[in-house]
Amino acid sequence: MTRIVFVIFALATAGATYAGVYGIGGEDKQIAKSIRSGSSGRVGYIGGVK
Amino acid sequence: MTDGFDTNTARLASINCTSCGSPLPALAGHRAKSLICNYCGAVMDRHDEYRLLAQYRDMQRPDGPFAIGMSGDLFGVEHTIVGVVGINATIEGHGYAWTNYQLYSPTHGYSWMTWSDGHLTHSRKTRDLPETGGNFAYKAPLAAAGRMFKMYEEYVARISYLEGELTWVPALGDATRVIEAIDPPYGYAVALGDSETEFEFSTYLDRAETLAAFGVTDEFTRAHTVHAIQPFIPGAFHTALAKAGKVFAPIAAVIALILLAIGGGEKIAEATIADPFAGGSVVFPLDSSHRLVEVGITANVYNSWSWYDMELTNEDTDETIAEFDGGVEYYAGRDSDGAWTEGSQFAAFRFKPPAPGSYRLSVKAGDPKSSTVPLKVEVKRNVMITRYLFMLAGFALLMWISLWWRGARFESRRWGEDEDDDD
Repeated sequence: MTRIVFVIFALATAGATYAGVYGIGGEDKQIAKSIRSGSSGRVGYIGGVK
Repeated sequence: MTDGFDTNTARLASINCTSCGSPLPALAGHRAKSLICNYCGAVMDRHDEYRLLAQYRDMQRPDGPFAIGMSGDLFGVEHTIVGVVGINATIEGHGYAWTNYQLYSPTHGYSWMTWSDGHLTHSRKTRDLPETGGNFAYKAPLAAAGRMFKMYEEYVARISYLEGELTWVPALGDATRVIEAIDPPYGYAVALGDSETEFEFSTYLDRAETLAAFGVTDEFTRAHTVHAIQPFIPGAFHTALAKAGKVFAPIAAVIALILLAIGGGEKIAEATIADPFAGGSVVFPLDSSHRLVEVGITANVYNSWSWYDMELTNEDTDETIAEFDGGVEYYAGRDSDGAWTEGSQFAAFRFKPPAPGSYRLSVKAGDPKSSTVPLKVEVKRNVMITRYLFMLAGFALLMWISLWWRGARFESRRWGEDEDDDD
């Protein structure tokens, strides 16, 4: 039992480290949703401020 | 007067009561001095032709799982129950009762098994006298039998029931002052009688194993209290969780702190937009679509707010990648409770680019009522997050502490220092 729990904790630590380094789940929902939905061919709606 | 009979495992004998004639098992060795009839309460002298010494009618048999004649293995030795003694005691104003079973082993002699509120213990006389201690003092040390015990309680035990073969000639109502000390799963008792003082060494027994060893089906109420010498034995799963928690809580916390230290990100661009209503932009390269990018905006708003529309475009194709908005608000003041602040002059937005490349972030005030203070924009890449590791560290710590807490609560109940003891 102890060995199994240690393996689970080791995997959880590795997973949490990976997720932390790669920022998994750290994106702002608004931006992530906008990126997923794509531009539909739009070009810079406030692009005039370049 | 004696007639023998055979069972599958042992040769048993019986004797007829010299008072009422009822057949009584004769299982003990020669050192047993008395035989008490469970039918008529006659106390007979085994060493004097079963002469009638006393008689106690209408004794009520105490609760317990065993009966005279049952045999079982304890500590690798076959024992047979040859007698039963019921005990009553008043401790700190509360009445208690338990049942002592006289055990006999042809090779190891006599000892006791006690049934008390669903707990089972074994005790035997010992010649290991106390090395320290004297009068009872709560939790005071008592060294004996190579162990350091803590004094637990002192009480007067009175005999309330007698049956079978016993190693002395008892009388109903006989009283003995007892001092108990504990070192779970062991106990040490000093029994101060009128004419002699005896010392007993006790061991807590696993109830399920012991009942099974004596062929008794466990249909009895489970123990609701913590016995004085009951060891704290948590479940295997909780023990494993606590062990793993003890190891992984610091590991996860250290890794989280390392990520916190190095995971702030690498600044790759910054710009100051002097007039947010005119807007401005910043261009930056991103080399990975798997790492987190953070856009930080800072505006020195004070008792005001500012809201911005932002747009992320691919610098090579001018294609809009994302549109989003956000702002800062900051208020400060003083009231009867003192100075206060609310909000922040800083806001951060995190995203992962769809692909490596050059990106432009355009920012413009998104509300005509926004503050006009200049806006500072800062872009960092390879930003790390620590929330998962801190959560894991917290969970691991909780598992570790919870076992300690359970153990502490168990000890509290053992010593009667827990108000929920009656649960």
